[in-house]
Amino acid sequence: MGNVVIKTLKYSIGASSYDTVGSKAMQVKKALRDYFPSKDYMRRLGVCVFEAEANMAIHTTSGGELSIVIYTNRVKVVAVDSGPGIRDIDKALTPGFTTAPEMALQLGFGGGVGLNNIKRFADCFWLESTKCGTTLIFEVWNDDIT
Amino acid sequence: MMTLRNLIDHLELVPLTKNIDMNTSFFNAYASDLLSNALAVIDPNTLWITVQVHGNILGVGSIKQCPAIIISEGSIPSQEVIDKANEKDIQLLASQLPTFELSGLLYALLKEEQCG
Repeated sequence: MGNVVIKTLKYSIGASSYDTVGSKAMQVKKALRDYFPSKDYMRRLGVCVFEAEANMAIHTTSGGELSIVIYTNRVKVVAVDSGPGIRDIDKALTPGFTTAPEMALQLGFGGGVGLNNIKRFADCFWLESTKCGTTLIFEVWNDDIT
Repeated sequence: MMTLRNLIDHLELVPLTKNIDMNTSFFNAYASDLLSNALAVIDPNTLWITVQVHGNILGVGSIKQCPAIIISEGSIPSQEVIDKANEKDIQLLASQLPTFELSGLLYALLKEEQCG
């Protein structure tokens, strides 16, 4: 039952599209309202989607794609971009470490805690990166539905 | 629990959005201009104090169901951001005070409320 896909949403995120970061997270929140009424669940998922959007806007050279796969008991998010990739994943996961450009920092992005926020609020976290691009996959489970 | 009515009276905050619900209650606040920190910490009982005035603060406020965002240090968002906040039912308030001073005053009010 838990593996039944209800719906899949796909979004394109542009490089340096700082002004729209958070808009996809809000669209996801609206689209999922009927399936996941738990506010706590939507806050956890919202943080993760917001951070995935922000990472693509801040760090990619040509943007990326965000796929949101909605199952009956969880949401799986796949974020794929085509570079330039994360040079050192361990460093990128160190709280406070950032390679964000000055423009992003001035807007309050790039504090070096985005990936950690996803790790903290998601139930599964997988990250792979080469200079050809990065794939980030995470899942947020709704424990109220088994 | 403190309400926005108490807060506006004591700290001379200026409502930026329409239809502020004066009975909105909260018992904590968090001051940060880093969006990821705010995303990690704020919740439906925690006000957010920031000098950021761009539209992304509305995303943070909406996702975390923040009871109200206080823009400190005399910063004022554009009319476009205020209109969007109205549309999304996000309550925005403004203060001329520096973040440090505003946080200190708010902390004292919350302590007084909690400890009597």
